[in-house]
Amino acid sequence: MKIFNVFPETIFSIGPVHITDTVITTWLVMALIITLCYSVTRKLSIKPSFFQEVLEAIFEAMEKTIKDILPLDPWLVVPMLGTLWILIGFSNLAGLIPGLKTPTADLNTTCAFALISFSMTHVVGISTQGLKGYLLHYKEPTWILLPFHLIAEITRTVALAVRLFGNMLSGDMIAIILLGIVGLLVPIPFSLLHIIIGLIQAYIFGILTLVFIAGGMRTKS
Amino acid sequence: MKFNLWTILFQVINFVILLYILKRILYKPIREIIEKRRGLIAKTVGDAEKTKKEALELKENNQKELNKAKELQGQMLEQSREEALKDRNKLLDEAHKEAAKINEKEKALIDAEKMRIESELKNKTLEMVSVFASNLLKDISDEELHKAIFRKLVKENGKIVSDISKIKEKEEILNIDLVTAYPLPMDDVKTFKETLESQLAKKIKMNTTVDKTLIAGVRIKAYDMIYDSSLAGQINALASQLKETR
Repeated sequence: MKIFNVFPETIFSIGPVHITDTVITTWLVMALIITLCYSVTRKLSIKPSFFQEVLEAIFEAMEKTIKDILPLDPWLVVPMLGTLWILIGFSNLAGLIPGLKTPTADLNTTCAFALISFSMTHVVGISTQGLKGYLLHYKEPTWILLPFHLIAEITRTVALAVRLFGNMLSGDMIAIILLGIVGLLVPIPFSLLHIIIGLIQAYIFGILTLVFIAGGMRTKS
Repeated sequence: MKFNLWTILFQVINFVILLYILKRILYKPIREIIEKRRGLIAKTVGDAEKTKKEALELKENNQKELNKAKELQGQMLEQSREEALKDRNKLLDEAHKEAAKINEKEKALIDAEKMRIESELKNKTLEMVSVFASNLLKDISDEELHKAIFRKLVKENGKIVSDISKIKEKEEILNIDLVTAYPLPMDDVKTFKETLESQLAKKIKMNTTVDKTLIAGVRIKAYDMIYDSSLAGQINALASQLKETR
């Protein structure tokens, strides 16, 4: 029943460093992303090819989304958010390839991403408003709400990590259980559903991060 | 399922590495190309607008030039018309002047002709009158009239004498031609001769000739002076006097 194990395993260890299959899969996903991006952006021109057009449309949509939510120059956060979206999205879909495990079905991975989101919120907040200005947003609308702000900082980060993890793990588990019970063809619709859920979860993760960053902005209006 | 800090660390590092690489190979070129295109579009639109504006300006200018040219054309036309009018007037004036000159010339010619004819007519008339007068006088004159005239001459010889005495002639003998209409009695001639001789203290040679054309009376010629008391002479004198008066 080794093939049905949805949980990460250590593949090899270098001293105290344990390399799990999650990390290896992530490397594969990264290699795929880099290859794709390189092949597309290698020959950009003023007159775009089809792939370039798609890419530009994606980036312009991203730019517009960020501009709607964040009162800042979109290109300040586009690289980080974009990377989050791309990495989570590709990782969520990696489990569809037989023999690979979904990296985001590992709580360690989602925790790492949640930590990145958490630190990104504070880094952007501090770098755009200064440390004092950023900290002042915690007293809004009154000082009484400060403890709740602090609790929310932690809970929402945990929620980010667990939400993604739970969705992905459930998808994988459903597929495996169905495969065990009813055979080869029945899980296919669920796999299609899994694709949609994967993309939606990636989007949600990025958007929530964006909203948290925006929440760190002390808007005067 | 257990927490593996290494995995978390690896995933964070993975993210950072991917972020760095994608920044290099994805975000930067994409951003550049998008901004380049936007710039190009803005520039193209701006250029198009500029070109349009320029075209409009050019059109306006052209219109202005055209209007100016039309105005100029109108002015030139007007000017040329005025000039033509002026020329015409000038030519007309000249023609008028020329015509007037010709007229004058013609008039002068006509006048001259008229005068010539008038004088001719006058002369003819005078001639005819003199001929008529002479004929008339010829008819009514006779020897008595002739003698009367001669006697009058003899009586009034003072003028002749004073004229002749003014001429200091060395010659002793004075030749006097006496032309008479009718033959005079020798006594009369002699008396006249002697009267003159006594008054001038000179010898006088009198050559008497008869000329019927004198009608009546005598003509005396002394030196180069002529005293004509004949009727023909009177008529001629009158005719010439009339001829001179205009």
